[in-house]
Amino acid sequence: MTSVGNNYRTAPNPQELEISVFGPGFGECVVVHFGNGEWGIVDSCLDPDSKRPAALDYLESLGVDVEKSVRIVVASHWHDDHVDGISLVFKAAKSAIFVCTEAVQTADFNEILSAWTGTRFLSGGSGVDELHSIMVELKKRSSNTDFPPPVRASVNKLVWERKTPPNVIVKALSPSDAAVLAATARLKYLSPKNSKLRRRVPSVSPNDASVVLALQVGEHRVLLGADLEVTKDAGFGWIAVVNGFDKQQPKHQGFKIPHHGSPTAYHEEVWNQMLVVEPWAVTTPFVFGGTRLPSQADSHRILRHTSKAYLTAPPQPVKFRDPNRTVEKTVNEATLAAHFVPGRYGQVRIRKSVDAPVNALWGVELFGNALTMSDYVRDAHYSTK
Amino acid sequence: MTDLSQISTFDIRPRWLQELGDGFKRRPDTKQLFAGSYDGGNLLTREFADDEDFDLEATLKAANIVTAAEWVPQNITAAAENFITQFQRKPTRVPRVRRVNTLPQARYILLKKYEGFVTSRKQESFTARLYENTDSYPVLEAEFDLEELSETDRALVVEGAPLVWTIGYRYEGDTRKRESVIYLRRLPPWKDKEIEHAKQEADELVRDIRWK
Repeated sequence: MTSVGNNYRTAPNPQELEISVFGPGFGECVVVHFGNGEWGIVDSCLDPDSKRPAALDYLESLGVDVEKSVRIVVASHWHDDHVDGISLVFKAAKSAIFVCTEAVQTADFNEILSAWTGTRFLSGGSGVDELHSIMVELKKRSSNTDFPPPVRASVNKLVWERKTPPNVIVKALSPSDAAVLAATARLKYLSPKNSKLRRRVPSVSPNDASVVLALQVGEHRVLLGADLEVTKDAGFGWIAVVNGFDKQQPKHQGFKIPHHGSPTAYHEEVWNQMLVVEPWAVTTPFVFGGTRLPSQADSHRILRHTSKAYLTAPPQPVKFRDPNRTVEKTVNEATLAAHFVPGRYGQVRIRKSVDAPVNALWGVELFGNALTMSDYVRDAHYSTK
Repeated sequence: MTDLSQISTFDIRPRWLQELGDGFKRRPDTKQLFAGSYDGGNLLTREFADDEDFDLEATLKAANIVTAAEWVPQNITAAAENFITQFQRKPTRVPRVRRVNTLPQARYILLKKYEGFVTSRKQESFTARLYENTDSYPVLEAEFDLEELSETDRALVVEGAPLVWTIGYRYEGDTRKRESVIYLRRLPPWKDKEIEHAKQEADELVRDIRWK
């Protein structure tokens, strides 16, 4: 990635907390420094330049020993746009525990994992291929007790902690039990016996089995929203998370906005009850067909809650080009729209000393195509329908 | 050996003549006898009927119709007799010479081939993610009108359905046409045995993993 910041390759000091959000590379990736040289990785996407997992590229550029320093690798859910390259990340992170949603650990999921992985002769990988590779790695590690066991995340489950200062607690706030049951039922539908035609595994929607994480490092708290959406049923999604949140707890100072700022993932009570006033907030863009997230309306809505909102890149696809003029002309004539995905890419890096007061400002750096949400809204060039 | 001085070039090369090599061959439909050689490019052959110069004895021996020991006119086998009768009935043919045209009349030049899968379908259009090769990145995402597909293919447009798109030039004689062809791949449906195998593989894979 092209870096515009001066200190891109400067690793955080041991007492510095860092949250870096990357995307889009068919999705997003969050890299966290918990202090003391220990790191966590949530989801994965590829860097468009190097075509390698963004997290690995970044940590190696900082001189971090991925094998020993990464403690936790999380797949928030199994959509393609959140797990691209995650098996490579996990294979490199030999000291890490693997965390994924409780919903994947069913007989149906296992069957799908094997059956649909066999369709990899179709062009393009899929989230199933990535998770299959991870299961193979977990099986390899299962015979050696040096490797920590994997964790199935569900509501209010402690997935990782460090008891030496600065203390770290990583807790899952979802999926709810109801969401796990619903996801299991939907997995049955994907079972190959019900499919007449062999095809690439379809995605499961909505994303109510996503793993939302609450990070606490010392007294600093950050909420990573994955792709969790809002549903009418109070037992699912953000309503269930807010209802289950202990209101006596201190609020989170930072927020990875879920589902690319989409209105389907917006729940006002998350901002009111779980986040401090004017938290920092970051999201990644999403471009698919005619859909552009966040839209201008989405951005205005987010900016009503905080002025410290950032985007890793504007939601703009890259126009299709081909060295052969005939090909370019034919593609443009034969399609209603054609572009390269993922589009623009960038990184938002947020750092703060663990020793700093809770209300102290966080340092924000923007790399690649990252920008503030205010700039995105202000610039008519980015305007979307 | 038979006189091969009268050699002609033919542009019709059925399989049974291509296998001729140096020697003789009987045409399956007429039982007419050919002699000559095929060098892989041109067929050099002579077609014998009731040719005056034709050496019947040598021909029959070479074609393994009679052996040297059997070659006594009154001992000619029934097969040989039939053979002689057949080609004696045929009128003499004048060998025809034709030029072999090495340039095909129709050809196709492929400019681009994409493979991919359908990512979503709307009422009148669908979107697909398309790869030039398996490690393409970034990739082409395109929205097509459903009318670009045949009526049969439209029914197959569901999320995940595999798709192929070729762009090229087709030549028909001296005419060049630009061509864009989009079609859905027909993959074989799941078989019970495969599903059973997948279940076993899955059980084997996750059996030893100890989750917390």
